[in-house]
Amino acid sequence: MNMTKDELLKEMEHVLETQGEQALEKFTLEHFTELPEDVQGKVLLGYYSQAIEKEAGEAAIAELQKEGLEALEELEAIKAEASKSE
Amino acid sequence: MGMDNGLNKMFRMDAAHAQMKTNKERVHPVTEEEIELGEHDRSLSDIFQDKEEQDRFLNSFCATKNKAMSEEIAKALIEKTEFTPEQNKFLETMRSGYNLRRAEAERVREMLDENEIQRIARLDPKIQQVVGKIGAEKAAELLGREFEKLAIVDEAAFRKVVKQMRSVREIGEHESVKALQQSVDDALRKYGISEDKYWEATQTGTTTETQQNLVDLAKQQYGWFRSAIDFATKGKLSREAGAKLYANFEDQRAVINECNKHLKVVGGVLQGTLTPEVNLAIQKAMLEGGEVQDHRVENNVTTVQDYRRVKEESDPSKVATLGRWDKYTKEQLPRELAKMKKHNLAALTAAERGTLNDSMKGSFAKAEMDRRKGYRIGDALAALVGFLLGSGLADETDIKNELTDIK
Repeated sequence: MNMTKDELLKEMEHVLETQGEQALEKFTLEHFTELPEDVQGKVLLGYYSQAIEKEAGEAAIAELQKEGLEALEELEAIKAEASKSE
Repeated sequence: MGMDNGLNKMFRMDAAHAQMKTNKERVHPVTEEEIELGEHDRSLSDIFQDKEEQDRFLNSFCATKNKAMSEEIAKALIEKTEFTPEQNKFLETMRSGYNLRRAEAERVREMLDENEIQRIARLDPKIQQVVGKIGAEKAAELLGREFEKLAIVDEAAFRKVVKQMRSVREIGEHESVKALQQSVDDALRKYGISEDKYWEATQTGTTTETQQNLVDLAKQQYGWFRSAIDFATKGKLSREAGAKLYANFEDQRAVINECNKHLKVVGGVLQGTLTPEVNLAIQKAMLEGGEVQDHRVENNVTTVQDYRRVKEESDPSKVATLGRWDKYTKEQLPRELAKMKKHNLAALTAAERGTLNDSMKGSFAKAEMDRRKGYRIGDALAALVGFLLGSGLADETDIKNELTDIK
């Protein structure tokens, strides 16, 4: 059964004070539909920002690694050529 | 080597984007295509005729650029007095920026559709859980609405998110991070690149480097890494032209030494990508490049400790509120009177006094609300804490009604 706004706030504060930020986030996800819509939007924007930041970071690192690996191969090949003609 | 894609493209696009902005062209913040203002090509009169538009323009957009000026303009609107030339100039400048931002925000909002929500939900369990509860369509609607607000009130956060969306779009599908990590590890062992100082700095918990040192190391290596790749691809050396070029070198040993030097640099960066701390520092250096700074709002609330502090500082009880109001009027009233070139309240007409009373109460109430809600847009936890802190209030009017008149 859904809590009233006051009950929800009281419980959220209790969870935050006694179990910390992560527990509050977990609790809120479980009671997401009970939050006012504007708060739902703010929370969702927070999650999206974090997710896209992580994705952009991983994509950039993956590209860096790919190019880095290619550079290593290229440099090794140049070395091999130079060694042959040495 | 794939120099015409990925990172290079990403950096070229950044430069192109910056150039376009300099030229005042209207470009889509993510796709870089030219955009039209369309319905967002509003005159000041259009804006001031629509209460919601006026509120967004003046109290959100303009206030972030020049709060004092925006408050004076709001006051002039209430009192129905003419704007000064300075105010007109400010409003015209703001209008063009506002219209463009509204158009940009709308284009990005169009991208935050059901498909995008479903795509990101596959990558993020928390979003997946939200979608499971309210559905992708509703989630897209809420996210889009909030994103449009973000675009108006927090340009830095807006630019940061769109830049990341652009990066993801430019790089596109990338190979599995796990598979690449293994390939890097294998390659470093295969080529025997294991500089002790890099390994030491990249081992979690065993390094003596501070986080800042790691960030500096990553940034420094990153610059070298680019030149190493240029050396191997765009420079004079390449496998194809190799034989001819080597014949021109008096000492091929120099070529080999040069290669070894670059191998160590590239290897060092790759080693860095294998460890979380350095990996994150490299991401920050690559994606933000010093251009986009982490945007922090004063009184930002993201921890239990912050929550307790702000809760105490913004005790919503009437006694505490009146105490803060008393302090505020003692500090602010002399400034307001000085602006009006009056020595004391008695020198004001009843109408002037009433307007000043209302204006100061309004400013105080807004500041109270901001403090009680103190959170950073774009941070989920801060939004929740803000909800807790702001929950005891109905709106600014309630606060205003609690206040005594200035005296």
